[in-house]
Amino acid sequence: MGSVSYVSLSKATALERSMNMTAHNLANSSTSGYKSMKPLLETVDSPSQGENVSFVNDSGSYLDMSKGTLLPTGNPLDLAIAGEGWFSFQLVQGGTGYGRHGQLAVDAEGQVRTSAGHTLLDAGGGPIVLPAEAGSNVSIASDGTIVDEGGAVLGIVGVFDIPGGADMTPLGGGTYALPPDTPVPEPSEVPGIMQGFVETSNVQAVVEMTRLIDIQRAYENAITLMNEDDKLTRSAVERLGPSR
Amino acid sequence: MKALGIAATGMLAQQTNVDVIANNIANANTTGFKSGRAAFQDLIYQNVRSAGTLTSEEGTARPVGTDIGLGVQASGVIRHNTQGGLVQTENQLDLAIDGRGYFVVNRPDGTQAYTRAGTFQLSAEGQMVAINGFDIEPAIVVPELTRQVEINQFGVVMAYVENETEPTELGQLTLATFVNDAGLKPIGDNLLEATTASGEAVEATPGSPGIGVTRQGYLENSNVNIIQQITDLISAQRAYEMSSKAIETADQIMTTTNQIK
Repeated sequence: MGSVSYVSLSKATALERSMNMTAHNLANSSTSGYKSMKPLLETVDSPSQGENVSFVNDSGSYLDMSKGTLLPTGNPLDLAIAGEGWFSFQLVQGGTGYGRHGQLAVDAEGQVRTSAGHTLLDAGGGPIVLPAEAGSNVSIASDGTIVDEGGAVLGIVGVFDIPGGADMTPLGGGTYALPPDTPVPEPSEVPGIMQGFVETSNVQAVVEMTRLIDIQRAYENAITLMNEDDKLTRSAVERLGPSR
Repeated sequence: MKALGIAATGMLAQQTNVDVIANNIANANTTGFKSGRAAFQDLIYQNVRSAGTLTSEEGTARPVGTDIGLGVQASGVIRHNTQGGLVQTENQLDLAIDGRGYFVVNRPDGTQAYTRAGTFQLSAEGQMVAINGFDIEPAIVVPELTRQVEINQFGVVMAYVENETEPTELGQLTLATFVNDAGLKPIGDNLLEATTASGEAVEATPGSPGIGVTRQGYLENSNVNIIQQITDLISAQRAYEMSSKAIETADQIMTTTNQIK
């Protein structure tokens, strides 16, 4: 049997995963701090009977690290990072995650959290607690220093440098985990925090919509190839089979 | 084909977004209303292949994993507690709060609610009540034959009764503040309720450090920025359409699959 239909199958399977990823990106086109995901396809050579047959394999996914645009909201606890750094969060499920999602709120104890409940950490890795008198009535400087109306320093928002970053694992809730065996990130020297702004999702709608069309046509292509191969085999059976 | 479900989460999230925007626009002229904004978060990821898996005995490892995201969800509606504009009404029982704090209202069931809408009236007994008839805490009773009521910026209510030239002090209003204003639960009628997320109410007199002052004859407008709401509405609609296109494509892919002989 020829390997045509299996090559087509590998293409269809890879395309289906790309489709899921594109749907996920489009669903998150309004999620602040979201980094869009791209599929990574690779060739798998499988020489058989002197032919060079190459299958396609979706070997992984990576993050598009481009920045979203900064959208002014005027909310004092909306933070965006103008530079390259990442916020650090104590995750609800335990452990530390990083993210550029900065739609924050204080809880009843005054701890600064995301709406998913992850706690924002300061430069030293501790939680940030705002006293009851201040509430959300604070100003946050570009280096992350939080001061109340009287000018007293309440804490410093931690911003960390993560070189590369495209290989981070998404954890949901706008947070990402570092790959294993990565050294602990250093605090950024130029945090560039902007108060009253949120970073929009970096999903490029046009690109994703084009990919939708592309995936659909390529999928049809793969299926047509399968059907053509089937036709060829059938006609071979008909012609070469025992004569009536 | 997960794409169908993933795209559906996108459409649901945008629907929530439109609901929140519609409520903001509908309340653009509601006294003391604070606009909300839907916050979204990406859902959990299905890990198909992990990054860092060894690919040879020499210790080379897979640099990236395959994580399929499962969509989006609206994680909350964040209320923006910025100051609304003050409009002059010249009504002597209209009060606006300039700064932090909420008026305290006693509900008939004995619990307290909080509001920034200072459209106060007098009950048949002369007591200051909110527009829905609930008493203000602390109780302030305006005597009969009062010519004029004066409320200063510290919330002290004074009445000029009959022909007296000196005002009578009737009491001082208190304002409640919360650690987390955004955690208050809106219950309609311009009222908010304390929750475990907001923390306990801390009561203080107007004009104390960090607390707002009262302005007589003014009302606080809603802080809804109509232009921003309309642009948000447009982008929400487009995002909704994009997710519906993803559903359409997934559907067509499945149709194609059905054509395999």
